[in-house]
Amino acid sequence: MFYMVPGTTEKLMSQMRRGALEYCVLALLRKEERYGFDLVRSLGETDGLVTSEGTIYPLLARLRGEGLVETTWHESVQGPPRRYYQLTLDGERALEIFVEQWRRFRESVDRILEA
Amino acid sequence: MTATQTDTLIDDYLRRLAKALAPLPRAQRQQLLTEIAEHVATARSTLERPSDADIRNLLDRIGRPEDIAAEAIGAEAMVPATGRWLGHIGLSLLPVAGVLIALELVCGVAGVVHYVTVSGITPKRRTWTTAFFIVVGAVGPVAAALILFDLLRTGMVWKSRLALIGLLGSVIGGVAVLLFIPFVVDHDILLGMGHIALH
Repeated sequence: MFYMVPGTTEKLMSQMRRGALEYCVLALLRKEERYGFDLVRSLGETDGLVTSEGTIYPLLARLRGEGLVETTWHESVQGPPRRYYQLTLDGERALEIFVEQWRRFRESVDRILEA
Repeated sequence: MTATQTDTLIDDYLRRLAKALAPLPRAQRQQLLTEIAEHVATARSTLERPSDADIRNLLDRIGRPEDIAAEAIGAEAMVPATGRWLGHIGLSLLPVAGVLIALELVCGVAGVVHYVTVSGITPKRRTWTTAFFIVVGAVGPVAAALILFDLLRTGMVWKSRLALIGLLGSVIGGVAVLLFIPFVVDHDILLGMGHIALH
């Protein structure tokens, strides 16, 4: 890519991630509660979503502070108890709104890009 | 690589993280440190006899401590300051709400007693006086239930509106009691009390 300045791609991706990432977290919790580590690994393994696994933990803390997710402790087969994340009712509602708006937004952008 | 060397790599990483997270409030810093240390331990336990390079790779995936700290400090700054103030005000008003709720409960009981005793003496005066007592009396338990439910749900954080509505309700009910009692406690109630005393 002749025009692509490496820093620019990174900056663009970070800007696009900023709004969407927290809803990806909520969406991963839609069906079932998940162990923090598994949740973070799933996000980390999705292409282009997360640059470093560690930065998801502050995001989880914020979502918890906002009451969109909550945590419970589960005994584990070996080692100390594990912290599991699950969606709250407020979280479900926030996700629904995002999904709806995301579809609208995506369609509008696609329409203009493909025009 | 020996276990001690991989341990040193991990210890160094966590120490760097602790340093980078220093500007955060203690509780938050502790929680992040615990969670990330747990993440490192879990990731490590998935590797069989990890080499030095494996551990470096694992820590690279987690990211630079400074980036994690920047994210955490940014997130902290994004919690609106007014929300935090409301939380502090809410929690500090909790004892006041407790007293008012107790007062409202007493009112509710007084309302029922009033209804029972005044009945037959001055039926006309009975209705709105007792209604006032009973409505105010109902505010107490409803407010207490709202506050308790919300605090338990959010883990004693006091951030959502429900608890504030409960608090506001208990305050309004309490003020209503204090303002109106001098007008309502008239000869009706005294008659009622006399009635009880005679029996």
